[in-house]
Amino acid sequence: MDKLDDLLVSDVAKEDVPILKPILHTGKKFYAVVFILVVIILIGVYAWILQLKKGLGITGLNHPIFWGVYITNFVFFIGISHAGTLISAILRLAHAEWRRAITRSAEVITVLVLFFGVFNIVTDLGRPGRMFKVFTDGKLGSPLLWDVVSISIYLAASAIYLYLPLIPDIALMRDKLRSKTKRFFYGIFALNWKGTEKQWTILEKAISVMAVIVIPVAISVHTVVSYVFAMTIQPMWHSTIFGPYFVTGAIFSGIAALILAMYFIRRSYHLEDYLKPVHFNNLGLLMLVMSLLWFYFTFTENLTAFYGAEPAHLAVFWSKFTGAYAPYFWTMVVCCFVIPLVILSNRRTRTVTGTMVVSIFVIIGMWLERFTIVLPTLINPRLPYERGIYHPTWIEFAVTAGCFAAFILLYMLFTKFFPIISMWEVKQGREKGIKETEERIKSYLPGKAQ
Amino acid sequence: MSLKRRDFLKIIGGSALSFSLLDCSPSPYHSSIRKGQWSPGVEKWVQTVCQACPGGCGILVRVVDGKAVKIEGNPAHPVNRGRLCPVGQAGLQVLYNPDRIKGPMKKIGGRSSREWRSISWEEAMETLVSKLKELKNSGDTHKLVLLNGEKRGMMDEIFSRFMNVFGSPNYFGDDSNMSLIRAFYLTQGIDSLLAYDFENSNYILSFGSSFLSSWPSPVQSMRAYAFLRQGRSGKKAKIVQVEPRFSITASRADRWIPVEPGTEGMLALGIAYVIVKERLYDRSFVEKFTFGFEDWKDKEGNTHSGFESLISNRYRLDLVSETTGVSVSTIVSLAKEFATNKPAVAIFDNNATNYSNGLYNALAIHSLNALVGSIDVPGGVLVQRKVPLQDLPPVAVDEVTRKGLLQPGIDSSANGRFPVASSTPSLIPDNILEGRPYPANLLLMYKSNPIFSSPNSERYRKAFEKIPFIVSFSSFMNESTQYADLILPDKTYLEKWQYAESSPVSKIPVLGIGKPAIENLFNAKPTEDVILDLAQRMGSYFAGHFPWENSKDFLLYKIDNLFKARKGIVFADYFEESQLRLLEERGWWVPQFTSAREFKDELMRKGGWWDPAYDYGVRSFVFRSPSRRFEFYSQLFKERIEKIAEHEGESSEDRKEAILQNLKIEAKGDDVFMPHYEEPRFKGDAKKYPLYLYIYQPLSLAEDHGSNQPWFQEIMGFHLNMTWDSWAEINPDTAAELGISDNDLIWIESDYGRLHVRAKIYHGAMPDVVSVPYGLGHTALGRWAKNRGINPIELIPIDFDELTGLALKFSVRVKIYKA
Amino acid sequence: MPRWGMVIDLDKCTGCQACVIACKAENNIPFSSPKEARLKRIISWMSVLPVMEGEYPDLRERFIPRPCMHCDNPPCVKVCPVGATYKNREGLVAQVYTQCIGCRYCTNNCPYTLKYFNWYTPEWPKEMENYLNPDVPIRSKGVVEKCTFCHHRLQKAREKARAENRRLKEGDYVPACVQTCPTEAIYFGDLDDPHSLVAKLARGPRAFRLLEELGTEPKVYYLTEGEWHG
Ligand SMILES: Nc1nc2c(c(=O)[nH]1)N[C@H]1C(S)=C(S)[C@@H](COP(=O)(O)OP(=O)(O)OC[C@H]3O[C@@H](n4cnc5c(=O)[nH]c(N)nc54)[C@H](O)[C@@H]3O)O[C@H]1N2
Ligand SMILES: Nc1nc2c(c(=O)[nH]1)N[C@H]1C(S)=C(S)[C@@H](COP(=O)(O)OP(=O)(O)OC[C@H]3O[C@@H](n4cnc5c(=O)[nH]c(N)nc54)[C@H](O)[C@@H]3O)O[C@H]1N2
Ligand code: SF4
Ligand code: SF4
Ligand code: SF4
Ligand code: SF4
Ligand code: SF4
Ligand SMILES: [Mo]
Repeated sequence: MDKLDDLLVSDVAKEDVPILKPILHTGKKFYAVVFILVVIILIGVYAWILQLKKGLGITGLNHPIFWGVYITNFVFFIGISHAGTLISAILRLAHAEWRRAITRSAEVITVLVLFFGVFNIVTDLGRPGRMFKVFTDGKLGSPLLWDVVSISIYLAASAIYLYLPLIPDIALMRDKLRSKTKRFFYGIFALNWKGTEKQWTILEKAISVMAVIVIPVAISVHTVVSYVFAMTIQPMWHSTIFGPYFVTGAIFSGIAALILAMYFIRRSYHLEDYLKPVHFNNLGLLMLVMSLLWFYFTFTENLTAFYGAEPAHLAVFWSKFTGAYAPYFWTMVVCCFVIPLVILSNRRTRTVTGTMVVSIFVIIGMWLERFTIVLPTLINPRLPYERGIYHPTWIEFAVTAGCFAAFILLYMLFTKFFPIISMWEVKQGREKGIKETEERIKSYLPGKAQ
Repeated sequence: MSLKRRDFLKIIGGSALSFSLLDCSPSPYHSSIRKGQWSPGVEKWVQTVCQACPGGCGILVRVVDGKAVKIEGNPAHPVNRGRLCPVGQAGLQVLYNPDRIKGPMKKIGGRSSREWRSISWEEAMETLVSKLKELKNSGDTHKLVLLNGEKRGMMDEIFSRFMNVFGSPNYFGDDSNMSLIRAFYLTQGIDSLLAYDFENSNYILSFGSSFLSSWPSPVQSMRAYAFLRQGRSGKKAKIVQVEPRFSITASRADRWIPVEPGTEGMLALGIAYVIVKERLYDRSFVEKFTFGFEDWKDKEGNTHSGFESLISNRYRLDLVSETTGVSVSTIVSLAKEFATNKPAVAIFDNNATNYSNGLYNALAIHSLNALVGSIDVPGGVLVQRKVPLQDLPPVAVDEVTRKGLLQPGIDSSANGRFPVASSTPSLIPDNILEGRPYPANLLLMYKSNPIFSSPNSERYRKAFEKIPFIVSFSSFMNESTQYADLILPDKTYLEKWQYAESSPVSKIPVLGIGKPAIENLFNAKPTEDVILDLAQRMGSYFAGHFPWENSKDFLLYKIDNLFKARKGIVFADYFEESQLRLLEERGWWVPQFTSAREFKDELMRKGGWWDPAYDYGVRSFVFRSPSRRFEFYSQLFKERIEKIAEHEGESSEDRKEAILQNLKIEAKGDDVFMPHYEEPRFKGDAKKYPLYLYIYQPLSLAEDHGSNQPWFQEIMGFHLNMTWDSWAEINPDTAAELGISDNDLIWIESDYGRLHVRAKIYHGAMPDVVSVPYGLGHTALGRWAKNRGINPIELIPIDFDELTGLALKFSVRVKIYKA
Repeated sequence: MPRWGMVIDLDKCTGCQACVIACKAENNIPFSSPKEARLKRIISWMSVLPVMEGEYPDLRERFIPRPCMHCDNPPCVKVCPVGATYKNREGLVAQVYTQCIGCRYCTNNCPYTLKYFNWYTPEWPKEMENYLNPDVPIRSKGVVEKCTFCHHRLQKAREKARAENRRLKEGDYVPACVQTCPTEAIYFGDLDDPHSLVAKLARGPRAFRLLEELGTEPKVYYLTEGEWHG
């Protein structure tokens, strides 16, 4: 602690110290992890450069399996992005008090992961150099354009939505850190925040407005991602259920990602006092609900295809249920439904560790879900044709691993520059929240309203 | 042009506007032409002939700036009428094949060395001349052996003359059609393939004939097929394919009848049985134009049994059905349909005849045509007339040559082992190895690759080791050329002067004229010119016999006769042609041209000549057998056997019996000389090797043309999704029994070898048959062919049809198992 | 404006694949390597689909040659984000190689799987560069391509007709695959000209189109086989 004292001015609130600690002090373990991540990223970058040079031929993609891991990653990452903004916005609007400690860690996920979603699309392009044509010559008739539009808006909105609540905390650091350079930099981002009444009113208003805006945008993002598939006329892609199905899946995987993030933040930075079992419990319950919903959609989607029994659809259906993609499909069902149901429906296992374990499975399962949506349809085109099978090459794995590593690295770096728990919100919760909640509860009760 | 075409194409491909289908903004290629910035390239279309197979289709080669960029069919050519098969289309990959031998080469080191050094044509020619002179001077001219894998056209003519003038009887070609030709010879006395008049047939009963893939003239037969399907008004023809494999032809037929391998003849006899029993045969034809149908008396007054009694006594349907695996009701329906949908024709090629009983299968199948009177009638079997080309001047041989020519051929069998063979090239390697009847001294190879294409290639390898000097004219470094001491690379057919007669299966004679589409590609030389040049260098005796300066000169000499023939017409447009044809069919021949000169000019300009009229009913032409009839009972056959017996000094019946026993013929008495069924013999124990091996040529791989062309590697196995590799077709039940699934690697094993190949489950395979395509499995022939797939011929022993001396293709049993 | 279309008579087609090779030769389509072929990356604007039905020994097989159907309502065009594939005035579905970003969305939305992707930069051995057709550009790596109905031949035919001061007539414009087909199984012409052969055949009783139920309105028609009657 003595070291910390050197770095901070003395009048820091005691409660804020543990939150600021990761920013002020970095352990050896952190560097070790960074090193490993950088290595993985470099391998990924190497693979990507190789691909840029030689062409997509060095992936496992082929004819007619034109999309594979990259598009799976794209859908997956965009799905994860729902963790943050959407969850935090809903909880904010719902005045869920337990949100205060977790919103920031959620919002960061959104902003960072969106880049990797977009990156995977670019990686998948045969001519990434011509990407700009999407802006200059974009044809709005194409669902891909809808994606471009909605993801751009979502990215902007989420960035703002992340940034606004950061302002008071940045200002706090500007004021409380001893280092001059740091003060200078935080000063820039603090936008002259003084904490005046007026500023607070504007800020809180802006945050609530953004929260309202961000929700439909987020939903639209994953809906149009689903449209990339649903607007085609390919068997089992051309489905009306895809919009809500994808959104559900997105929130589902988003929560899982959030729980994992919280779990590691909590452990590495010793924030047990901030990220409490109740947070995990609540998120776990939410995840259980999503799991059930997800199962319901999966069930409906497949039952209609099976019952309709159109040969083209059935070919895809069977390749998922018993064919080449059955191992992936059933692993997905276990990961996304069986395991969450068993662990999360039991209060005794819905613990910090329990929800963390479930989250890992959900992440795997949801990646597989994207995979089993993209692949079986492509492998079974309508006309009998060479039914190739898709074996991704190390290139795709390396690029994918690189993306995950880069995401984790960026996330870790974020925690080194900004408080990962919103200090003012926690404080506000302590100061105002209790009273407000009490009053709100009172207002639910019989008797005269205020 | 300062920019290379490649760059030019890149510019087009990469420029912002680009090609595309933007019709309002034309491609920069076109717009730049208009602006005069780009020279559009000097474009010309060169009329020539395709020689990638015996079909001889007319082609037009599009040449831009001296580069051949596309081959199209020549619409004026009557064989193909502007159409081409894939092989014809792919000629550019032969022409510009990067693995062509680019100039003359001489071997460094011994026989087994694979190193050559480039030499000049001058040195190459002098080396060859000195070798030839050596032979001539020592009186060993017969020790020169020439293998020509493509015995047709101008090259054949020049080679034969050269061998004749030089004094060697050892000029050989492909013998794969032997059994067919022998069957036509024994029944009709005709020593060539017969033509089928598909277009006018109502019923085609094909015994394994692959007329929609590897037929002597694929485009022509495909066109005939299409005409039968949709081109013709009136009655639709029915096509029935009898074959152990569901081939392309079977799949396009109205009906496929799988038959046990080697029993094709039996099925034909069963059909004959029904036709005879139900008296459905053409009585007037049988009476007027056949011999040996009913029992007959010879000059000595001995009674002989005829075909009718043979059939009625021996081929009861239950027996036929049991042997062939075809149900009785099917046989009856085939017979009835065949006899009542005239004109009907029974066809076969060397598939039904590649067994130990092949000749009898051929006789049995062909006899069906006689039964229903389908010989020399529209829609039946016809005999092609030759193109009246000018004969070469007679040869005045000197003493050495005369002696050389009198020597027995190096293909000859000891004591006339094969009674109805005309030549037995399959014996060559053994004979060379044993120095029988004398050692071979100098071997020339032209379009021939025996190490790849004959069974037991090991014999050929060893024989090659024994020959002191080997010369190859090959354009490609194939397995056999690897043994050559001297390589004088030939130009491809797109770079030569040549003429192509339509394949013998066409009823009408057609002559296509070929000119070089491009010149100056690589330092190769047309072998025709090389031989003519050789003759000049060999001294006045040779030079006198070869008064032609070059191959073009030779060509002009050959066609000099055509004008005088007062027949046929120069290729013309369709309207003019039909007029002339109509007139000629009515016996009026109207000359198109007034002078021989004008005729010749026009002939060279239009690219060919043909005689569209077919004269029916010239009996002496169609039946050249001793009886001048179709002989169910082959007197020529009988003569041959008697000659052998005589040759051995005895002509007793006992001796004949012994001869027949040697020939492993089971039949007795008169039956021997009539179509009947002999059980086929297979190598390999039926218990140990339960399956038959069937080998077929996909259209694009026939002979070994295709495998060094990447386009063909891509398309050859399309029915099973196979590319760039060999496969084995296996019946699903058989595969299940053996635990083999689709795409498994398996071994195919015979007593003679085993090969590693991919299994393909194929519903079109009979349960006891494994089919493998020919054409792959090279150990040379360039980057695309080398070490790719398997050569099924390695599983085949050397085994002969005892009558014709043909080396058998389907004589082996195999087993398969998972690798 | 003519509406170019094709009619393919399945009763005549023997699956010989001359059309396949003719297209490759005409349109500078690179050949695959064995390795690429195993990954099914062969580019073949025209490909023959063998469709076998039944079980041994009662088999039926037909060969279906498939160029791009040049759909009147092309699903591939709808989804392209940059307009690199579009339907032109004569109904040909065009592909602008220089505009294509290689997203392969169109390939996935072609129900006939008839669009092809350049996985690598196409290459030929030096000698074989000689045979490339100067009228057709070489595509670069990373872009999608497909049958163009040999559009460059239309351009040439039109230029020729213009030079001769006449209108385009039937038979002036013939794609390479049509030209070579040994059985004359492929017909080509203006579907909107009621007197053209293709229009007549397309209206005939044997005519059908692939996956007609999807509403793509293909301009490639097929004619079914007939049966033999004794
Ligand atoms: N494995 C196998 N064996 C076979 C067959 C088969 O398909 N596969 N087919 C059988 C049949 S039916 C036959 S007829 C025989 C044929 O057998 P061969 O007569 O031996 O014919 P190919 O094997 O085709 O060999 C011809 C060689 O000519 C060379 N060549 C190609 N183009 C030219 C050219 O323009 N000029 C010259 N001078 N040479 C050229 C090539 O290098 C090629 O290797 O083989 C029989 N055996
Ligand atoms: N395009 C092209 N055509 C050619 C040639 C060429 O080079 N190119 N070469 C010509 C030459 S030299 C020749 S020899 C011929 C060869 O042509 P073919 O004599 O037709 O020989 P393959 O193509 O081997 O024919 C094999 C067919 O016989 C069937 N078959 C296999 N086993 C049996 C059996 O036991 N019984 C019966 N009935 N059928 C069986 C197979 O399924 C297959 O369909 O092709 C000629 N045609
Ligand atoms: S049939 Fe023979 S001659 Fe005619 S195009 Fe085909 S390969 Fe050439
Ligand atoms: S060229 Fe004609 S016959 Fe051959 S596959 Fe193509 S359409 Fe069929
Ligand atoms: S067939 Fe496919 S590529 Fe061609 S126009 Fe129709 S959808 Fe587009
Ligand atoms: S691959 Fe090219 S043509 Fe196809 S949708 Fe993408 S940009 Fe358009
Ligand atoms: S129309 Fe032209 S581009 Fe299309 S398949 Fe035929 S040859 Fe190829
Ligand atoms: Mo042959």
